[in-house]
Amino acid sequence: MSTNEIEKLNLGATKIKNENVRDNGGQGVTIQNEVNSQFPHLTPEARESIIKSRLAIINNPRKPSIVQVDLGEDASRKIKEELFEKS
Amino acid sequence: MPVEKSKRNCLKNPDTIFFDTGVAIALFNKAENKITEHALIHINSFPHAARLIVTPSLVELFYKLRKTISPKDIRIGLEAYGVFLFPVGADYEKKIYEGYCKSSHTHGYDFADYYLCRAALLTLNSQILTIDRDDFPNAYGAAYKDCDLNKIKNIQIIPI
Repeated sequence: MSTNEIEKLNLGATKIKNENVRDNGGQGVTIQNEVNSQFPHLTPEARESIIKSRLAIINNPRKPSIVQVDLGEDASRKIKEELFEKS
Repeated sequence: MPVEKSKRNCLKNPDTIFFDTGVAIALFNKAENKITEHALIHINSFPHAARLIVTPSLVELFYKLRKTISPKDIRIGLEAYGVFLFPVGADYEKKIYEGYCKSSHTHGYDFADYYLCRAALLTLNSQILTIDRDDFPNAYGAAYKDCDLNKIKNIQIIPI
């Protein structure tokens, strides 16, 4: 493979990489602009949470696999009892 | 104040979805996978809506899982579902506290329910995912009454 061909490939790879970055960055910027115009009354931290969530949904749309345990049925219903009445 | 028709239509299309403690716990509980499945079907139908949780719900979640799942894994799990902490800010939090404490009556709802409803009122069209069918309507009624924002009835409570 000639030096020119290698350079072309590298340039191509860089181009794709940059496009991806621009696309992701562009999406992030679009969402950021939307959130800023939709929620001007929120604190910057609250707006940041909304932006992070929307980006996370876009980047990970499928059901994720996370650490789970067996807490039994109605675990969530019992939380208040445990928290406030057990002691 | 009557809700304008255009705004009423927006109610079907939320921009934020808040997770109640019960639904958040179900995400980590094998025995409640059905609740998780129902919640996922619902939230996946609104991919543009941010998924949020408030501090009191996190406190309850961390308490419930404290002996079984590390806080780091809880955070990773929530973020994998796109669920992030929604910080309301110190001033608004103080208002929530004062709003909850001003009543001399006992309530059917707790501070976390009231807090969640007040937080949800901050966004334009929000939904609250909950397995609690009884307390939330009352909590929302009180939160709506106490909220001094230029508000519309913008919350849908979605029982899972």
